[in-house]
Amino acid sequence: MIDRVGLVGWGAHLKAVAHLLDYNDREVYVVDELFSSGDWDMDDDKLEFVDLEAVSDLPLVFFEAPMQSARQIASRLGDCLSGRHAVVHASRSLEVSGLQTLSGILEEETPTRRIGFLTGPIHSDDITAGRAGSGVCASHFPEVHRMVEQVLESDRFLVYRTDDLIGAEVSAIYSRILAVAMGMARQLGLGNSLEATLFSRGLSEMTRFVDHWGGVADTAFGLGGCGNLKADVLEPVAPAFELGRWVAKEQMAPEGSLGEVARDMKSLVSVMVEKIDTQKNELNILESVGYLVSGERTPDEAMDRLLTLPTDYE
Amino acid sequence: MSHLKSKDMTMEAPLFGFNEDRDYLVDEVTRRAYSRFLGQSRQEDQTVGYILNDAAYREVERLENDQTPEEEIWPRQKWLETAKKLARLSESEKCTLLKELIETYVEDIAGSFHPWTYRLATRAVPIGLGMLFKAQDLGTLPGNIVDAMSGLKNLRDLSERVVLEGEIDKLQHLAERGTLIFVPTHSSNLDSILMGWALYDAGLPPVTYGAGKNLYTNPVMAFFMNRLGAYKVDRRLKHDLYKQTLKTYSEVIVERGYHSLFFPGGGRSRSNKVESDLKLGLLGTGIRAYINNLLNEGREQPVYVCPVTINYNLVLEGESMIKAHLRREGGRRYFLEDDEFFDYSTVVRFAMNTMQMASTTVIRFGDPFDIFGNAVDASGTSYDREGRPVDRTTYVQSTEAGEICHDELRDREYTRYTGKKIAKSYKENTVLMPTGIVAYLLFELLREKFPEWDVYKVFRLANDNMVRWYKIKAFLTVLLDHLKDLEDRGILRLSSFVRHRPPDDVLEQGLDYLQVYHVPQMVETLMNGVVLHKLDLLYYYGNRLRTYDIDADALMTRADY
Repeated sequence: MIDRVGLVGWGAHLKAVAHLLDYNDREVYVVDELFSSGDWDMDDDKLEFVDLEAVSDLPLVFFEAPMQSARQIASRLGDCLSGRHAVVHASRSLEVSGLQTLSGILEEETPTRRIGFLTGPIHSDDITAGRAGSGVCASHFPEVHRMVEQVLESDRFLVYRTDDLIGAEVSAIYSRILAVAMGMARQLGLGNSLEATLFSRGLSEMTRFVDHWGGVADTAFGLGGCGNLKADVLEPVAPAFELGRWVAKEQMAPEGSLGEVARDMKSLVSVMVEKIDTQKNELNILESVGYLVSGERTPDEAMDRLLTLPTDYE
Repeated sequence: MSHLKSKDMTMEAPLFGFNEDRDYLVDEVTRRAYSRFLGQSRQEDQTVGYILNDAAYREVERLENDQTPEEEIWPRQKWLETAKKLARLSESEKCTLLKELIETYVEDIAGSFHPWTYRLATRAVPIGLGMLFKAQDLGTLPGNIVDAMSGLKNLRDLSERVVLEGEIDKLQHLAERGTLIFVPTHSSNLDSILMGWALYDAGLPPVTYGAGKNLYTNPVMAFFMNRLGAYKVDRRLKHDLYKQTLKTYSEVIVERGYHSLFFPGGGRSRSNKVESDLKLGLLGTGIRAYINNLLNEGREQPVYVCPVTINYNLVLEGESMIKAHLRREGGRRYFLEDDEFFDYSTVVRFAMNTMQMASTTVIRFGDPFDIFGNAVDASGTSYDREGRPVDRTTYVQSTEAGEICHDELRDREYTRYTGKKIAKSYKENTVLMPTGIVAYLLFELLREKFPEWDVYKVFRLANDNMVRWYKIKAFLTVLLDHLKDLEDRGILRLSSFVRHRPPDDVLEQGLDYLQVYHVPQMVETLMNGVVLHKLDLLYYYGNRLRTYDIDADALMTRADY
């Protein structure tokens, strides 16, 4: 029975996890010495703020951090972990320098191999408001699945399983890129038909992207891919969707002043377009978003390009 | 010889006590495998009758067509009778039959170890292998008795012919601290003999290893392998009863501290590419053994994994290997021929011809790691990728309660990780030899002439084409520069000859090798170029380089001939 759980870092998913843990009467230990956390939206007495060293006594740790600092934090975290620990992250991005997922970084920077990824339509607003939701845990280790289910599942929250860790991670990342395109389409007023087309063709593209990364294509249709995308475009929309809307409204490439999400998305998409053969893998939406964030095409031109692609059997 | 002192230490290796331990091993493997099958029959609804029936059904089917000369534990008729009577047997009779069958298999699998045979082999093998792996000695053979003695002395000096390099000192230290599992690349049936000698010459302990049962049809090989700790692996048997028994045997010998060796490539590399798709079942038994010792003995007996690359200039069975590969990959043009290993005249030709050449083989011991894939130092301490010492036992503790336990899926994941490390080590420690480099270069220059053709069309239609010297030399210079750059970046290794000699010497030696053994010759050198004859074999030898991401077209453009 896992009754004490560590949270390292900060992010919307981690906040949701804190509430789910609290609902399940777990003791929640927050490490905030590496990273200043935001508003947990919980009573202070429900969270215990501890030093990093305290993590060594906590077998299960949830981790979320912006990719720019993820490796550094993971390395510090690694000082306190052993092969027994399980670390479950919730980051939907890639390390720009080597296009590495966070599970790969954790494998490199910490001694443990028991790594998982929690993702899906986990809206922290829903969770904090006590509404039901679901997520998916991706891990090669059944023990990780068992523990995540044990501490998070309740009458308010369902946890699904997949052992396709890389597939779930890259699906969750690609759905953010598709959300940018969807936000742009919404702002341009292209209509429901085209938004649905983008959604559908985007999922198809996502399967090819997952396959390119060595994952299982069908994972794209799960909570990590399709589920995340749907959640990102529903109100309150995700920051990636908001970014697409902003670009379409301003008719210009996103600026760094727009904040962390814009900076992360801009560098992520630029590197992905540079390092992945978008033509060969037929990743047209990724390519268009790439042109958009680099300012090489206007939103109208990007949409025109997508609409003039040759069609074939689905 | 820097390893002489350590060679004495090899005589204290666990394998020297194998014969006294053998009865215990057979009993323990039988007991454990039997109890697992009983457990399986309870948990997975696979009755003992089902397990026996599956084995009988598969054996009857196999033996109907199998014409191979290997010994069978039972003839087909006995399997047929067993299958028929199964329905009439009581549950306890079935259990007795299961136990008997397991014991029969274990007796068939288990080898033995005779110290005097080991001593004989460590003296005789260098002579035999010396003839296979070097060279100049042919010229020194008997003019008179003094010359003959001198020739014999030279012949025994196998270390001139086979270069041993890599982490030998570290492995010597680790052999005293834990159990070693050597996992070499596999190109030829000569590999296991060569590895046996290499371990001895490197001052490393003898190992037990799984040898294909087909090798036992050669009486000389059978004599040695039956006495040198080898255990039989019958790859024809596909039923669970045999496979699980074999795995249990491997688990128990590692658990008992016997250093062992297996080829994770599953068989000889047919394409000659460095193996990447590894079969990890036997590696998984290392983790089971490690946990068993923790649970039963209450102490840690570390298990270390030692990747080894065996790098030949010429491969005895190269021709049949590539034909088998191409037939499987490319279709019906290719027909499997008899394996050269079982054709004595071919072995002799291989020996006589390769003796004319200089040093022909490099065995490289890669950096060892623990059974979980962590780096280790000479004292046996494990480190994570950040260089922090790690407590290995924590990997097999349950996260929830912290107790040491078996967890099949968890341990399979560790094995997969360690397998990736082995594959990575293979790539980084493969030593490129002149033959591979020159074969690659010639074939790629030929392909350049027919850019629209796939390799199969090249094999069919481009035979006897000539490649011009000026192109060969220009491309070689650029290719060698590129390979040296890859070596500097730790991506691969070059033989000392390739690294330090001028390109013309590398070319000359590569071409010599391509002309000495295979009949007809792979290439023929003329005034204005090289004529290519055996394209599939050239492709085979060049495949060593195709393991790596080398853009031949870009290099040829850079060569600017």
